[in-house]
Amino acid sequence: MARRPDEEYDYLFKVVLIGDSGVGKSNLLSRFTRNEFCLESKSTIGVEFATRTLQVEGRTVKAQIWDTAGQERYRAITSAYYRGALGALLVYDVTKPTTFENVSRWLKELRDHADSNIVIMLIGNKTDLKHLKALATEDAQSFAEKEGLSFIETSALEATNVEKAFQTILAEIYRIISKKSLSSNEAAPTTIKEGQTLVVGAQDSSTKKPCCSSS
Amino acid sequence: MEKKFVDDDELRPVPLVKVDRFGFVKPEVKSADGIVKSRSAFENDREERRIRKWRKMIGVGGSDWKHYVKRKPHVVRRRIRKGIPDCLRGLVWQLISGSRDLLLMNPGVYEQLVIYETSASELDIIRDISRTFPSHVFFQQRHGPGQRSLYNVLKAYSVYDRDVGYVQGMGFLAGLLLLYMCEEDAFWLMVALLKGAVHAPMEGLYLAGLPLVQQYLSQFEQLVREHLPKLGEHFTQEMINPSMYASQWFITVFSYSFPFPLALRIWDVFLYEGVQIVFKVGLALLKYCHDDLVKLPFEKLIHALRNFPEDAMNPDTLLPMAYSIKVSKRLEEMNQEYQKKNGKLAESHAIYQRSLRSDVKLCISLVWSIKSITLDLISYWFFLKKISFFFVSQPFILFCLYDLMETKGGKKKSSSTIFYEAPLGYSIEDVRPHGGIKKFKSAAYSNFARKPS
Repeated sequence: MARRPDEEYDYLFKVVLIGDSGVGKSNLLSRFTRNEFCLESKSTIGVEFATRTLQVEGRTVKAQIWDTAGQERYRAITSAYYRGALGALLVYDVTKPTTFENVSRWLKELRDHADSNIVIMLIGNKTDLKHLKALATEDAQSFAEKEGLSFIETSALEATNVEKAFQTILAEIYRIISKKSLSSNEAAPTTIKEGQTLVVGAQDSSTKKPCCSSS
Repeated sequence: MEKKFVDDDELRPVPLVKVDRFGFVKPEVKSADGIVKSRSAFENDREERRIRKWRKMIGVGGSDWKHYVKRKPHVVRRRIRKGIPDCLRGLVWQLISGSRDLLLMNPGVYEQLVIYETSASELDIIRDISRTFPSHVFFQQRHGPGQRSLYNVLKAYSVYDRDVGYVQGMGFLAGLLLLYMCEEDAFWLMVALLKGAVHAPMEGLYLAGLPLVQQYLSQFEQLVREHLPKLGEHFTQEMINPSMYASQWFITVFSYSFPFPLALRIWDVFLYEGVQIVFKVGLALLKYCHDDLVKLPFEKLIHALRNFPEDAMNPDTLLPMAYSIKVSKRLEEMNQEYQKKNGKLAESHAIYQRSLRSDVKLCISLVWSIKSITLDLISYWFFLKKISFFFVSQPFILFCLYDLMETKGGKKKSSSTIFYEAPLGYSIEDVRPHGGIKKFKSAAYSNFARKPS
């Protein structure tokens, strides 16, 4: 599928990837932005960053994704990145119950540091490890419903549902943004009250990077 | 496609891959450029002269080092800045940092920590083992000597310094050190870095909240504005702050993602001169790429700050540039300002430092008390060796169990369980005194006197 150059977009959405260390955040990101999976990836120190431009509900949306280190010790650095994020992908590992148990702690982190209307999606990653799956989909599903989060299970390794996960959260953010802009007064997206992260109608098309390959 | 890769990886105990002189797997050779350049005779001569000078300076086994440093600190500094000869690097690092003294003062402590103690961070460490220098042959093999050494050093440190425990990033320090020295030496060098011997260039760096990292980042931002005002202004406009690109510089002292030859040269200086070199190299990198960076918008800027061009990372051009940047006076002032602003924080840091010193003493006395209980030191030694197989294997059983759970794609073959049953690859008989000890030692403390290249 041909895509527009990187710099042309209608919306820019900042999204953070959070969750315990080793749940696969960096590989979800590389799968989504570069369609790559690296078995020999290094642990993330601090924050990493990647973008991808895609079509969401007929609009060109640029997703600016911040991948954060999962270890507790790094929260002092990573929590600064929650500010201004419109979406958060909260990832756990379906084979490791503790990573799911810690989801509540991550939600608290978001409540403490992120904007109150941030869209949160719960992601159970590593579904390819079927024989090791330790967490029932239904349990996670009902937890997500209770907390008002959307939920999906993914496998970054097999590229299952990764695209869908990002599409879903970006669409949800889009719906909220466009609703807001309608209610604020006019229909045009240019009136959105934006943080520094939501850049509306940016027209910087000066340079062109090689496009990330979509699946 | 990836799954195939998993299988290949597991069927291949010792990967036959092309590596560079430091042991990192070489990316595919692109073109005719791949021909290995051999050193010229002139370069060889120069290198040999350098090594001779260094040998003279440090004396046999490092016996003259302290004396020389006291007499001619400037000569030492100048020589270190030119790079420590690779064949002496491991020893010199231990001398500079003072870790050699710690080792000699604390016989047996490391072994105690590895064999008898348990750490709350064990699972965290295991999770990161295969994610530390994954492209280096020594650390590539699952449960191989490199991974075991890395695990042992990190676990021992997390027990030794329970306030800090294990923090992601430490693996890169330990990994770097393990390429130049044995486990026990690497452990004491980590202690010297984080708790202090001659000086403690990383003291407090990994404490909860990473206060020192935050301080360094804010100071670095300030220095960028002062030394490179145009770029500083551009960063402000594009809303770039150092935590987006420089956290790794401070947390791992450039060992996380920088070219290894450059990282080594920085470490030479870092061990002697301290954290200032991190600021200097950071500023030099920005200075070198200044004219390109000031033109870039946010995203491209972040990309550029994480992927400096090859010529910028040539130690022989970058480091002289770094040395020419003066930061010490300004850093001192900023430290004072920072501490005034964050008075409480500094206070708690000071308390922590004091507790560290008493920690070291406590650990030493612990070992002595253990030793005094032992009636016969020699029989104790043999006894220890006999039973240590069992104890040493404990964490590795955990390591391997974890790995079993981790099996990527559920593809682990049943044949590989043999590996899990005997993680060290030796039967119990092998570790008995009659000639087996040596073999055992080489498995558990696997990289004695290992030198790269």
